[in-house]
Amino acid sequence: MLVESLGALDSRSRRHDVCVIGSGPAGATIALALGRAGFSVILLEAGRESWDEKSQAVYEGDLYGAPPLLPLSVSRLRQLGGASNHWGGWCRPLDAADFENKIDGIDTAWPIGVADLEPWLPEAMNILELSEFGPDVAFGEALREVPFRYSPPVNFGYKYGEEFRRSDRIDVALDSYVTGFDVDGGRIVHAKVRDSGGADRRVAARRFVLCAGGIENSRLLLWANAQSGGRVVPEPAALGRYWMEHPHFTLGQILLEDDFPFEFDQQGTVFISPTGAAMREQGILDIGLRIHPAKEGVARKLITELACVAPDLSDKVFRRFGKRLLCGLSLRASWEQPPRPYNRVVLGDRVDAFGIPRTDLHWQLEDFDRRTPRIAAGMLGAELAARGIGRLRLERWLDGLEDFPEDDETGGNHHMGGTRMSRDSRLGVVDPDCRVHGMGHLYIGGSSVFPSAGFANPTLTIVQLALRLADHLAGSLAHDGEQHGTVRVRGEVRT
Amino acid sequence: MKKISSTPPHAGRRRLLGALAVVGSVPAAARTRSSAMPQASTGVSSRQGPADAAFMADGVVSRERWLLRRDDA
Repeated sequence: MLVESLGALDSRSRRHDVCVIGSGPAGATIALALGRAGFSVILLEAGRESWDEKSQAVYEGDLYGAPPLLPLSVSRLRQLGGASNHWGGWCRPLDAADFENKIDGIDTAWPIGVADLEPWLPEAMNILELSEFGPDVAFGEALREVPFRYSPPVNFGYKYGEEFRRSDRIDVALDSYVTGFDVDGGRIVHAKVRDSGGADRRVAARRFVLCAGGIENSRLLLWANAQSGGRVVPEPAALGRYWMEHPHFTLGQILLEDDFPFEFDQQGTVFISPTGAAMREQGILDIGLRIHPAKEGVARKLITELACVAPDLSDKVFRRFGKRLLCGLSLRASWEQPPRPYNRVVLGDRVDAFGIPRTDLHWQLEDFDRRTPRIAAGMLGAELAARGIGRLRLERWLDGLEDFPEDDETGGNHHMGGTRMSRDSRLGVVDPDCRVHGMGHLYIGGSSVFPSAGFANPTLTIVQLALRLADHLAGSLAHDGEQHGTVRVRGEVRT
Repeated sequence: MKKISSTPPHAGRRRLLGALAVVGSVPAAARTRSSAMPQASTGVSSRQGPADAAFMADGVVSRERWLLRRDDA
């Protein structure tokens, strides 16, 4: 069932096996998978079914560093379905190389491999309503064309709202802001919940899964730790740290002297990426080079400019232009930034309407974030020129003589890291099963567990990880040997 | 470290680009329910981004910025 606040559930006798915090792609997927498997689930959503300004204001925070990202109250949504209410639907699984270290001194390795997520790829694609991914196609020895697929995009609150309402296994409580946890005997026993009227309640469950988002997971755990004297995350060295985005910038323009050999996809884009071997050889991280047709004026300007540096080639392209053939392309890219401990979420001095410290997000790009796009674009430009397809003109900032542009897209609103996965609790917050190091019964879902980011948009990987975690929880709960059944209710939701 | 205001001066433009990008791809019911919410969808918004406009306005031609073949010039 779906209720407007946790108080509406108090009179019900119900045992909840799992408390899921957050109803975005990770939380909704875990709740649905476990509910359908016969477990009782309470899903706590801090916002309401629809967006409202007052609830959204909780997400306001401060950005430190450069270049600027979108304001934190814009780049995410506090409502049923979370950020799936405004995502773009672009999907691609991470590549095998994304799970490995590619460069000495830059820790991009995951403690799991691509094969550990592949079993959940078909179901994740089904949830996101994706068609099959075609194979990568080699473009020279070092590059490959990589396919993306596009979700409608699935809005989890809209798609699954009716199932939530009808379910007798999943209780969804809106207006339920988790503000901390009770710890007893080395395990989480309650989530502390406050509603917009200021009423505090506690939710007990056999397992807790925090899926509040790529920033909120860190913020809530930092606050819970501050309140509890460090008892919620007993090994917090990495908590809030290694936060990542996918830098998104324009790299240049391409002028075609011959037909473009690729077919644009339904978003009018072709993606080119280096092979894993090329990344290691060149000393770069992963990158998706996004090529799409440019406006006619861009092609005209490129031809004019090329006339000054290569007049014969300019004449050749101008003849194509006269035949109204495709001549101008824009080259954009999103890429993997090195995970760094100083890029992090911390508790700010300002507080939200509930008295919880707001987010201070420290994020900056570094010189290495120029190296990956500069070298990858060079590889593409060389291949295009060698094949007589076209010539690439690079943006000036790639030379390192200018700052990163501040009026470009900057990031993809892909909030990753902060509670990264590692076998080593000094370098990560969760273990390979997404369980918080040193704490029983507390798990984390979502992109905050990513140890590194590849270049692919994260939602498909988030859903794969969520399905994997749901299966792990199902096994763990079954292993408990506890019976599902009745519950005592004493002014709170109890298992 | 430099502190950025909560609302960078150009955020409105990028937000508008995001809004323009996402309309038409969200189910009608969802769009109606959330018409006032911030739109931060990525990807498509970049297609007519400011970099192209900056390129159009750039009057400086630099050979070094072109990745040419030896036989081009």
